[in-house]
Amino acid sequence: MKKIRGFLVKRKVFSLFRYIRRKSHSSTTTYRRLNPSRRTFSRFIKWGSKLKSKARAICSKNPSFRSGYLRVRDDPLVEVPKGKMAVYVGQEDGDDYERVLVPVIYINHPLFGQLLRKAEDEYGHDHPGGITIPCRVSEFENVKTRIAAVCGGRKMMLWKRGV
Amino acid sequence: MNIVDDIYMMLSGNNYLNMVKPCWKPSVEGDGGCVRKSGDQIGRTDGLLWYKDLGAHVSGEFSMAVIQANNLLEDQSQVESGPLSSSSSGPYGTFIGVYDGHGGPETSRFVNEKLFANVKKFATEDQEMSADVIKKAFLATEEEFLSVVREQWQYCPQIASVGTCCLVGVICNGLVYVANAGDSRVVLGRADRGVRGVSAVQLSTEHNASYASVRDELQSMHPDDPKIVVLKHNVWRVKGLVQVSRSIGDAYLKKQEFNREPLLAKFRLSKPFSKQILNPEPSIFIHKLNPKDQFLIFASDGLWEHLSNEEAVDIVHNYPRSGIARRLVKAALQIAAKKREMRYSDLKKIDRGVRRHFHDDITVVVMFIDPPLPNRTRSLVSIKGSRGLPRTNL
Repeated sequence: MKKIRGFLVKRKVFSLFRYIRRKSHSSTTTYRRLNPSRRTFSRFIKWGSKLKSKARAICSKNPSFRSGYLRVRDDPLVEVPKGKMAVYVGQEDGDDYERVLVPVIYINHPLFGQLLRKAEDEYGHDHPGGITIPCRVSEFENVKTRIAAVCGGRKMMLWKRGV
Repeated sequence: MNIVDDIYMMLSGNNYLNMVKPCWKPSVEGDGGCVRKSGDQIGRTDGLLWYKDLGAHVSGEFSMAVIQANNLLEDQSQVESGPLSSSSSGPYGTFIGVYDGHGGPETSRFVNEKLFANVKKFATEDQEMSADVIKKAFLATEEEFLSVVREQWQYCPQIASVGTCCLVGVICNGLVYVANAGDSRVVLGRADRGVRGVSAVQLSTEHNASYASVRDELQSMHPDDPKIVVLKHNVWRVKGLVQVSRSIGDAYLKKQEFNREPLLAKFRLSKPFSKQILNPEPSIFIHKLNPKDQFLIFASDGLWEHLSNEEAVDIVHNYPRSGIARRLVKAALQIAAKKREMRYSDLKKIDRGVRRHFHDDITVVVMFIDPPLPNRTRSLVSIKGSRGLPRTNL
């Protein structure tokens, strides 16, 4: 199956347009930026280099150039994305042992607290490395979906109230 | 198009306002700024963090910070500067206490209230500061706590399983007395001609069963008990229960009278004992201050499990004084987050109690030792760490 690859240029083009327009109307603005030209220019230079690298990633045949973030699974030392943390599930020497990325806010949930208590009984607080939860992966996934349902539901409610 | 232009101008005007606003607000929390406000005397809190960025004591300046991880904060700390006895002719100097509780907050809170008063009492009797005065204060505080346990034993037997490590420093007459029972640590930063500019000298002796010397000492004290230290979850523990070999409190490991019901079974030992298993007596070290000695870092083991002596000393040497204790805490938390494979910014979102899986309570007190100035006013200080942090159960 072939996937469509690409990126959006809409926003950047819009801001470029606005920048040019602001330049021509500079006398009407109420205040002046402290160092306008350098900041904007560096932004466009950055954008240009990003364009170049993305284009190269799309055109090149070498898979390592493309979608570098997929390698996370192979190398656990790659930085965890913002808002998530790595949790190890299962017995360290068993074959049912997996590294799972969990949203950090789930950790405060009482259901997760029960899992953490299990970990505390097994390894104590001073376990080196990531948090390891001694339970089956299926059990862990079950807890995760239940917490996700609660968190998702709350988000929906907030959203509805907000609108 | 004109309307769009107007809105755009309004929005940018508003942003501009937000941008300048901090400029006319007094800067209190800034690292460089040092604005004295009355509310600043007792420190500030920010979520689970308590801090006092900069204060003055008799022989220099100090900085303090505490971060809470347990549901109830078990670490307590204090800095007392001024007269160290009740008489005006008695010793004058600074007292620093770091108390890292375990099993609950009761003992560390008790010691935080009583130990300094006991030091003052014995210093008044002897008319001087000495290692003996500090030792007597430790033992008296221990006795007072054991009598509290005896009083509350009937309706709250759990109090017999609560204890605290005690680290005390007294700076007086050009000497630093370091008394330690437990695994907190004090490190001296000394100016050095080397590349790093400062070297770390550890002044305290720790009593944690992870050290072979501590295990040997325990074994020699209890030759007829082969199971005096047990390896559990890769951690050495005295009787499989506590990691430290000296503490105040822990009545169930001090006196046989508390090794029975109604105390929970997991805290009871199968065999009765006649000799106390944990020792309340501190190891005392006296250090003569040298002009090269720049600062002392007192901290509970929560800091030292993430930072080495050298790393901590380098941080204090390389950054501004104000807020340095907070910076040390932050450095430790950043390492803790890395160990648990997450971001520091995300660690801050985790509630107390659950936090204990990521790091321990951390207390840091940095005391700067400045050369005496003739015109310096003698600053009297009495400050207790953690005031304002949550003190009730979640």
